[in-house]
Amino acid sequence: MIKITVTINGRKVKAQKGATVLEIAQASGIRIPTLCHHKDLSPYGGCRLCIVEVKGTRNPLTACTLVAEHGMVVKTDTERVRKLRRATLQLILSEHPNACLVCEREGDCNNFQECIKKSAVTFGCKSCPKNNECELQDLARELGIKDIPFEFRYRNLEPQRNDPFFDRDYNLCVLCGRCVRVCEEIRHASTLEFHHRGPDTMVGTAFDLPHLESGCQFCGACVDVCPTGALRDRFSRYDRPPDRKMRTTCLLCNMGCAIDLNVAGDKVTCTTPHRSQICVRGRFGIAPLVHHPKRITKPLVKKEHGLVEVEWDEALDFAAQKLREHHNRTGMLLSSQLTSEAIDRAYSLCDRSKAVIAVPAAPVEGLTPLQFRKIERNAAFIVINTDLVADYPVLLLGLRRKFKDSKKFIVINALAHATDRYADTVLNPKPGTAHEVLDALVGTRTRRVPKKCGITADEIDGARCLLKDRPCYVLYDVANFALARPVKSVKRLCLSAIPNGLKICRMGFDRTPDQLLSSDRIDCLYLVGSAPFLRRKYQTVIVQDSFLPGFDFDVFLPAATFVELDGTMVDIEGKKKRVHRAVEPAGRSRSDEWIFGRLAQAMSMKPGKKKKRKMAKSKPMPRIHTSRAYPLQLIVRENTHLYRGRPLSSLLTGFQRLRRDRSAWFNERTARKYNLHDGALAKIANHEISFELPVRISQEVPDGAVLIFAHPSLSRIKDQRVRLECSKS
Amino acid sequence: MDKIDRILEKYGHQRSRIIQILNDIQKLQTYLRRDALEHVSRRLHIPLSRLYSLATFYSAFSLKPRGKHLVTVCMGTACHVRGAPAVLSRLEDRLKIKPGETTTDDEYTLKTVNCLGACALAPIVVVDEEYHGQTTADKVERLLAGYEKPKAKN
Repeated sequence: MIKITVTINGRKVKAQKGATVLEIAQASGIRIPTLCHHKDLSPYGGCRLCIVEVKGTRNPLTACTLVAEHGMVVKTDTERVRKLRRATLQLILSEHPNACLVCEREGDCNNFQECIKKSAVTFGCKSCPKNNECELQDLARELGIKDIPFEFRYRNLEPQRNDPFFDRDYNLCVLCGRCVRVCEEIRHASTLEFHHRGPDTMVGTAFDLPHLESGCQFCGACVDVCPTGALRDRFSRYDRPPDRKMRTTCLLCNMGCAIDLNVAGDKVTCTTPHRSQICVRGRFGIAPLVHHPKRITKPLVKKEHGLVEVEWDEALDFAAQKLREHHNRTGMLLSSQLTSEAIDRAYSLCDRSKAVIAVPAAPVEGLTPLQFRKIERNAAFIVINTDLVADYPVLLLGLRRKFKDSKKFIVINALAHATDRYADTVLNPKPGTAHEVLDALVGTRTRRVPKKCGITADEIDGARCLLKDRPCYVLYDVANFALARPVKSVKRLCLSAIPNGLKICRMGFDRTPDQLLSSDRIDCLYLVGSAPFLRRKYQTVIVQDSFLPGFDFDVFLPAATFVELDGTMVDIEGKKKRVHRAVEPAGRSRSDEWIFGRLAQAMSMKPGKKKKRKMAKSKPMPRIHTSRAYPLQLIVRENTHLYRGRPLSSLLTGFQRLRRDRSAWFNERTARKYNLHDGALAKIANHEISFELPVRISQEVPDGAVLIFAHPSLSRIKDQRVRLECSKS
Repeated sequence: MDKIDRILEKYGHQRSRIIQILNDIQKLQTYLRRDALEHVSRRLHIPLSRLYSLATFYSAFSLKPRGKHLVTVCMGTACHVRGAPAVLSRLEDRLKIKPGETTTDDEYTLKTVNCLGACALAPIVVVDEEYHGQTTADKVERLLAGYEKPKAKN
């Protein structure tokens, strides 16, 4: 690297060639005010606040876009640039509610009026959700803005509150373009863009569509970079700024993203990414779950006259007694969304009481750690039956960032979804024929693609051209697809969204949830973070969860959420990651680890021998071939939006609106054929299964198919044909 | 959509020629329809938000249906000084629309621009790419009559 020397404010500073003046100044501790600049984004030079004087140029230049040259002499704090900066900021503020910024009684107001933050319209800092966290406030203070000599122009736009998770009030927007850049450069979504021109310029989606319809993934990256209150997390809108940030690991999926918990007092106000990117689950799912109004935080026991709140000891004794009574006839359904330590304790408890254990995980032999580093350059990825954008957005970002343009993506999926946008070629075969297409694409035995796949030879040839001379990887969610036999020419990258998936695979389990629930030998059901459909009555049902299940139970042990406990988790790469306690467990809830430990004590039984377990496998339901009686092909897709076995959509309305995963999805043409409309109830059945779900009409589903999201109790259903029994509106 | 594909073909599916592509589509359909933009977005891998941004930035593009004839009045400095506001207000009275609107019979769309670079001809009115220099409020009637004639014959 070539070193250059730059003089800033009379100080000689050494820097690397290619660095901008702003970067050099920041590295050597010289403050230059900025607004549109963000360290992770490309320089923009829009706000003009970082202007500096450079010897030999007539006009001041923006430091963020100015690449330093050897011998450059820069002054960052002359009277001339200070004056210009002030005028620029005054102009910016003339379009931003500024009454409070220049109010001479600002200090008095702070003492008396705290709650007007809750007003519907933001007319000044005191009613702004971002009060005291706002970069404009800091800048106005730094540059000493006492008055605004320009006429105030209020844009008078309606605040946008129709989308889930965050509100947008473009009356507060200063057009810094950070949200536009983060959406394009970091998230590759390009949902937001400037539109119109001159004084009418505004940020928004194409055709001003709601974010839900414009391909937004609700990652919240735009909310996190917004310097003003224009974009604001709805859940934490009314909270005070956080006192502290606690770093922890998100346990909502297997990626193990590092997150910062923003804590004010004993409330987790929101979660923000820790030096990386996160997805909608980690950004908007955690805080509302922890403080959910329906969360149960006290132990309950069913007595003669219904549920009674009891002390921990009584509840534990009761549960322990039941476990002793049903010794050998207990089945534990364990969510893997616990810490590693809690899972270990659960297994040892099962050994002790000779209970059988089941984990809702796709039974795969050899789910191996995803070795990111070992993926070769200019690789070609064949993504099969997996929506990377919805289910593994952080992984997709990682792949795109690492391989940039050198990689190729080929998507094979019967469903059309958001991942298609990033693909070089999309193959949409008929449902259930992905294997044949993959064989034709990379197999050595045959190069012909069967007619039933609905893919032409030209399409296959086109895709094969992309694979030429490239190391080839197949990428799939093990719950949605299983590679029948290894193919020599390709390497496998198996994905699983369940946290601690690798650990569960190593430890094995006795039964699949489906086998457990249909077994006659079980009298006592111990449900740890799982809410399946129960097919029959049990003598005892023990529930250990944060929310009440929808069925009868005998004892409820309130479990703490993962932000209320310490521990570790195993991520998709097999790395151990720490989970930290940010707040005390709510109410009288306790960590799963503690509950298992105390139960083992209360049972006062000898620790059992450590049992060796293999992965249990469900026999898939026999495939039906008659298409006359059952004209619809059922596609089951893994639901990755789960909290302790429950769909997030059943707990939080935002997730319900984002992805209506408790619906049966139909194509528009199929819906027209059967006279279905959005929201109607449809009963879908064949001779083995039957369920009733509301209808959602979506272009993602091919004609003649119906899509549902997997549920622990439906694990055997794959490749089934069904028919529509009846529908009601 | 076939016609749009042909336009894309003409420009070799090059993303850098998007302005010309949008211009041709607008000539084809008199305005930029949403389904057309969605189609271009899919074919050229350009985000729809970017196309919307372009279409709203350039005043030459319209996202609303335009009339058969586009009447553009220059409101640049020279035209303004030489009486463009009077021409515009006469046109507004005559067509009963404001700038940016289209007459109910879909015949005319009225638009203003800020300079056409033909200040010597000020005040200037452009109808369907025909330039009418030194227009006055009184000439407006005769000017419009020239475009109504074929309709009267039919």
